[in-house]
Amino acid sequence: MGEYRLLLKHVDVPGYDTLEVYRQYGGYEALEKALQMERQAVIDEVKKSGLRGRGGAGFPAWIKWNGIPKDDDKPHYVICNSDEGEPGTFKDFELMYKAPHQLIEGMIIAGYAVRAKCGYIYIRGEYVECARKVRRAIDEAYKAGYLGKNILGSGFDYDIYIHMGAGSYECGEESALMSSLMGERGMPRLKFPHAPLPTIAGVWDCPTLINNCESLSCVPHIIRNGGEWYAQLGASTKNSRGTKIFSVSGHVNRPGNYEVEFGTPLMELIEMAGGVAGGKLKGIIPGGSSMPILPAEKCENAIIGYEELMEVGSMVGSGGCMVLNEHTCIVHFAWRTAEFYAHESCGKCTPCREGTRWMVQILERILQGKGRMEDIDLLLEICDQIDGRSFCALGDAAAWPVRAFIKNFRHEFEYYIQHGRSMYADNPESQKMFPPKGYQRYNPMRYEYTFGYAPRK
Amino acid sequence: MPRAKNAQPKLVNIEINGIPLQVPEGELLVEAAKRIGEDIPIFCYHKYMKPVGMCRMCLVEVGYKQPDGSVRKMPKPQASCTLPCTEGLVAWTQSEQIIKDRRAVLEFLLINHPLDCPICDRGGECPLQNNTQFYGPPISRYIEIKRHLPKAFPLSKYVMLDLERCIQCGRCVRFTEEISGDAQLALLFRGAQTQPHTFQLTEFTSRFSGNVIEICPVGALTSRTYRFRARPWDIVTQKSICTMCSNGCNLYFDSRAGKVVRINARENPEVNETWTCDKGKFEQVEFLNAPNRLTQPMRRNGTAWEPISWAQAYELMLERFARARGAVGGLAGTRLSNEALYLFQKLMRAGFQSNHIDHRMTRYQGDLWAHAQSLLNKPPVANEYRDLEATHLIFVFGADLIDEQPMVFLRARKAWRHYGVKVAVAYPVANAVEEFAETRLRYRAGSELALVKGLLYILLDKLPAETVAANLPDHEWLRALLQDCTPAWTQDHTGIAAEQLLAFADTIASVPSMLILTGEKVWNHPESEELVKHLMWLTRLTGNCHQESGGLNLLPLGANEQGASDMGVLPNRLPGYALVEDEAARERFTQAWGAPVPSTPGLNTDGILQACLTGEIQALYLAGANPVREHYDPTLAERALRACEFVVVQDSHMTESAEYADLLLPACTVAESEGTYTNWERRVQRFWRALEPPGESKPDWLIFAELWLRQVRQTPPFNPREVMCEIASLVPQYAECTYEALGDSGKRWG
Repeated sequence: MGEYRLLLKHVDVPGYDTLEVYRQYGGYEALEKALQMERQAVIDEVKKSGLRGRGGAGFPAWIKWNGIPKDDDKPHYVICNSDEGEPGTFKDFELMYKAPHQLIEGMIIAGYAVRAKCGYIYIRGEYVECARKVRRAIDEAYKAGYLGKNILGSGFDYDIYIHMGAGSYECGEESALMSSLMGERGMPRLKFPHAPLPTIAGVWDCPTLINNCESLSCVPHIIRNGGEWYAQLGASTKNSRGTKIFSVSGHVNRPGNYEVEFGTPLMELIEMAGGVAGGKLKGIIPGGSSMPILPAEKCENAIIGYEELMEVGSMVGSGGCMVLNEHTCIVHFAWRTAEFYAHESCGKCTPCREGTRWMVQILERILQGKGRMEDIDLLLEICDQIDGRSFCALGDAAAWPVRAFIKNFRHEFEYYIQHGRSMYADNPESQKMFPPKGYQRYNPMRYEYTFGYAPRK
Repeated sequence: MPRAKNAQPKLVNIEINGIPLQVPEGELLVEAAKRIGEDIPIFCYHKYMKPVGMCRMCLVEVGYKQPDGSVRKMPKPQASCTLPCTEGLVAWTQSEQIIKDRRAVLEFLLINHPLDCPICDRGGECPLQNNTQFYGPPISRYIEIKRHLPKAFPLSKYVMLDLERCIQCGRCVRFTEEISGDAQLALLFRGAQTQPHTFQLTEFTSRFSGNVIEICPVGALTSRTYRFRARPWDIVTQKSICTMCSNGCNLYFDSRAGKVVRINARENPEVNETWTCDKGKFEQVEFLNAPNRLTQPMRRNGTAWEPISWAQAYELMLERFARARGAVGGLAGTRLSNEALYLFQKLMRAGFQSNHIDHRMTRYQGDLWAHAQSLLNKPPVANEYRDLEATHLIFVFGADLIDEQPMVFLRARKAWRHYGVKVAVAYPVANAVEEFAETRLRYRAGSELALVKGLLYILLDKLPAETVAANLPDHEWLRALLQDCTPAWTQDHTGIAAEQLLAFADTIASVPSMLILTGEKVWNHPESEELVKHLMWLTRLTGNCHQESGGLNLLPLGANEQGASDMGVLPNRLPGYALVEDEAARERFTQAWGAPVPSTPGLNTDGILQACLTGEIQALYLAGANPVREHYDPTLAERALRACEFVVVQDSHMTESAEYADLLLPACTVAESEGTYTNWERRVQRFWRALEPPGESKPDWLIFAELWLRQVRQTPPFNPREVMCEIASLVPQYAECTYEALGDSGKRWG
C-alpha cells in the first residue's frame, strides 16, 4: 500500500514550522472552519472519523471529547501529552519539531470543542529543541490572532502553555502527567472506577481532555476533510481508522518515521525503512518497548491495526517499531528492557517497585553466568504477579516484553543458563551489540542513588 | 461545602462473597467488607486518610451486576481500599486468584524487608508480620542480595527511622501532608530506592510526629522513648484520657513493671479520631515518670521535710483548718477528675464551711456562666468537634491553636481541607493556622478588645437592619458604646488595615454560620471581662447563638477546666451552676450532704491570694493546683503562699508551689486513679486505673473522702463510681453520666 503521508506530508518543506509556510499549505483553514461549526458538530466529526488514541491504549478519542461536561461552571483544560518516553518512539519529536502549527491548530480546535480556557503541552524534558519550536509557533499564533482573546472574531478565548517534563518516563502516563503538571510528584493517580474520569475531574479537579500529540495533530485534517473522509483511511481493518506514524528503528537500513494507513502489512513498513539490516529478521516489537515482541514467523502475516496486531500477540502501542536481526541476543535485550522499567518505576505500588527490580536482578545474574534453570519460570511467575496487579500500566509494560521474550525465545535463555554465556558470544556480528565489559548503566544495588548514606560495612 | 451534621446517606445494594448487604453509597469496599466480618488485609490504607491504593495488598475481584441480572467481572483485580461501593457491586475476597495475589504482594514486600522481627519494636503487633502469617508465602524465592540501608536513623527527638524495614506504603508521608499539614516527610527517589525521609535530612519537627510511629505498618518508624523498653506481649494496656489540654484525647497507656512506657491513641471518631499530639504522647510519659514524684505525706520542719503517716497528716491538717475557723480557701488543679473536684468543693463547702474555692488561674475570673446564659442562652462553649466540619467559617481568635488545642487544630484543618470551610485567624504573631486561613489578622499584642469593637462597629452597619434588629433588639446602646470605633480608629489601635477588616466583616456577614474559637489571649487580656462580653455580642449580632453549627467557644485550657466549672469549683456556683445564694439549691445540697452550705459567695483565685496576703485566709488548700507556675501573676502567688499561715499542697509531683507548703499530701496521676474528665466540648469521658499508686500516695478523690469522713463524720464514698452516682443525682447536666452510660467513648452533656 506504500507510505501514506498525512501528518508528515509537508514536514520536509523548508520553513514548515513557520506560520507563513504552514498557511501556504492550508494551515489554520481547519480552525476557521471549526470556529464556524457548532461545538457538538466538531465532536461529531471526530466521532465519525473513528480516531483512536495514538499514545498506546487506542481509546476512541471522541468518547473523551464528548465526556467533558457541557454545562458546568468549572474551567476546562486541554492537555497534549508530548512526554514521549517510550523507548523506540520518536514520532512526536518530528511532529513538534517540524510541524508545530499542526499540533497547535489541533489543540485550539479541541479547546473550542470542549469549551476549554487553556491548553497545556507537556513536553518531554529532553525535547528542548521541540519546545523551542513550539514556543516560537505559539508566539506566532498569538500574533496572528489564532490564540489569545476572541480568536478570529469568534468570541472564543484560548491560551496554550508549554510545560517541560523533568525526565520521568512515568509522567507520560496520563494521570501521572497531570500530577506532574500540577507540581506534584509524578505518580499516577486513582482511575475510574476508583475516582472520576479525567474528563470530570482531571487537573485541579476540573474537566480535562488529555490526548496524545499525534491524536491532536490529526484533528486539523479531520476537520478540514471531514470525518467520513478520514474514516476511509484504513477501512480494510476492523476498527482502526486513519494513518499511524511508526518510528522504525533498530536493524533497518533507513530508520525514521514512516506514516502508513492502517491495514498495511507490517513487513511492508520494514521494506519502506529499507529492509532488515545485517542479516535475517529475528523479531519485531511493533509498538515500543512495552509491547510484546513478534517473532519473524508471526511478522509475515501481521497487519497494522489495533485489533489485527493484537490477534498475532502484540499491539500498536505508540508506534515505536523496533526491528531485531538474527544476531541479536534476546537475553541481553530482555535485561536492557527490564533495566529500563526498573529505573523508571515510580515506586508507588509494590508489584512494580519490587517486581521490576527483582527481574533485573535475576536477569543480571543470568548474564553473569550464574543463572539457574528455575529462574526462567520464576521470571514468568514474577511477570504474572506484576501484570494487572500494579497501580498503573507501567507494571504491565514491564512484564509483557519479558514474558514475550521468554515465551518466544526460551531456548536462548536456556542456552545462556546452561553455558553461562550468550548463544551469540562468538558471533562477530553480535559483538558490537553487547555492552562493553563491566558496563552497568543502572544498578539498583548501588548507593550513589541514595544520597547522604554510605553502605553498611 | 461544609458537611451536613446529621445527614442520612443513601444506601446501595452490594454483594460480598455472595452475601448481599446494604451500605452507604460511596463507602469504600474495604470498610464495607468489615460489616460482614470479612477482614481484607491492608498496609497503606488508613481509615482517616485519603486512600491511595499503593500497596496492592487489598486486591479483590470485582464485578458489576448488569441490568439483565448477569455479573460482568472486571478483568483485573481491584484495590478494595480505593473502590467506592455503588449499586450492584459484587466482590469476591477469598477466590483462588486473590489468595495467590496476596501471596505475591507479600513476597514482593518481603524481598527487601529484613527479618529482624526478634529485635524489632513492632514484632508482635506488626501488620506485616500478621499479614504474612495469615496470607503470606511460607518461603521466599528471592536469593538475590537484599537492599541495605542505614538502620536507626534519628529523625527527631522522638522518632527513629529504619529504612531497611520500610515497605514504602506512604502512610507517614500522607499523614504529614494531609492531616498535620506540615509536610515534613516526603518520598525521596523513585522505584526501588523510594524512601520516606525529611527533605535534606533535616529534623522532623512536627507537633504531631508521634502519630507516624503508630500508623507505620512495620517497624520503620519507631519511638525513641519506647525503643527497646518493652515487647508488646509484656505490656499491660489500659484505656485513659489525655491530661495535657482540654481536648480530651482518648488514649491507651501501655505500662510495664509499674511504669507507663508508651502512650498510643485510642480511636474515638467524635474526639481525636486516631490522632494524638506529641505533648500527649511523649511529654505525658515524661510527666508520668518524672523523678520528683511525691510518695509520702510530709510536713515542714524548719527547712526540712519530715515524713509522717497519713493519719498524722489528716490530724494536722484538720486541726489547723479548724483553728482557721472558716478563714480557709482552696484552689483546685485542672488535672483532677470530676469526682475529685466534686468531693473537693463538697469538703470545702460543707466540711470547712467556706466558699473560697476556685480553679481559674487566668485573668478572667468573672461569672462566665451567667454572661453566657444571659447573652447567648448557651453554655460558654457552644460547639463540639463535629460542628467544625459543619460550619461555614471558623474564626480563631487570640489562640495559638496548634499549641493550645492541637486536636481542634487538626479538626479545623480537616474541615478546611475536606469540606472547604473558611478559616480566619487573629493572633499577634505567626502561627500554624495562618497556613490555611483565608483571613490572617495580626493585630498588635493586647489590642484584642479594639479588634472586636472595630468588627462590631462595621458589622452593625454592614448587616441588614432587620437582621440586626432581630438578633440584637436593643442595639442602640451598643451603637452608642461603639460610636468611636470606626475602621480608622481600629487601624490605629490594632495595626490592622481598615480594608482588611472591612473585607473580613464582609466575609462574616456573608456566611450562614460562624464558629469562634478563642484562647489564652482572651482569658489573659487585661480587660478580659469586657472582651468576653464583646465576643458574646459579636456572636449574638451575627445570629450565631441560634446556629447549631456556629457559636462562641471560649475554650478552656486545662484538662478538666470544664469539669471544674461543672462541679462547682467556683466561689459562687454549686455543682451544676446553681448559685450559692439560691435558697432552694442550697437546701437540696444540704439535704444530700448532711451538712449546711454557706450562703455568701466566696473569693475567686485573685481574691483568695490577696486574702492570704492580708491574713483573711489563714489556711490554704492547693489540691493539684500550682499557682506559682500557672497563675498569670506568679509573684502574687508566691507572696501569697509565703504569707499564708498554713498551706496544704496535695499533688502528684513536687511542684513550685509545693516548696511553700507546710504539709504535703502525695496524690496520684491520671494513670493511677480512676474517674472522668470533661473536655472542652463538655464530653464526659472515663479513664481507668493503669498502675498501682507509688509508695503511700492516694488518689485525689480518696484523700478528699477520707478528710470528709474525719471532718463531717459521715460515710464517705468508697469508689469513684459511687461519687459519679451522687453527682448524677444532684447535677442535672450529669444526670445521664453514670459509668454504665458513659462507656468507652463518653457522653456529651447539654
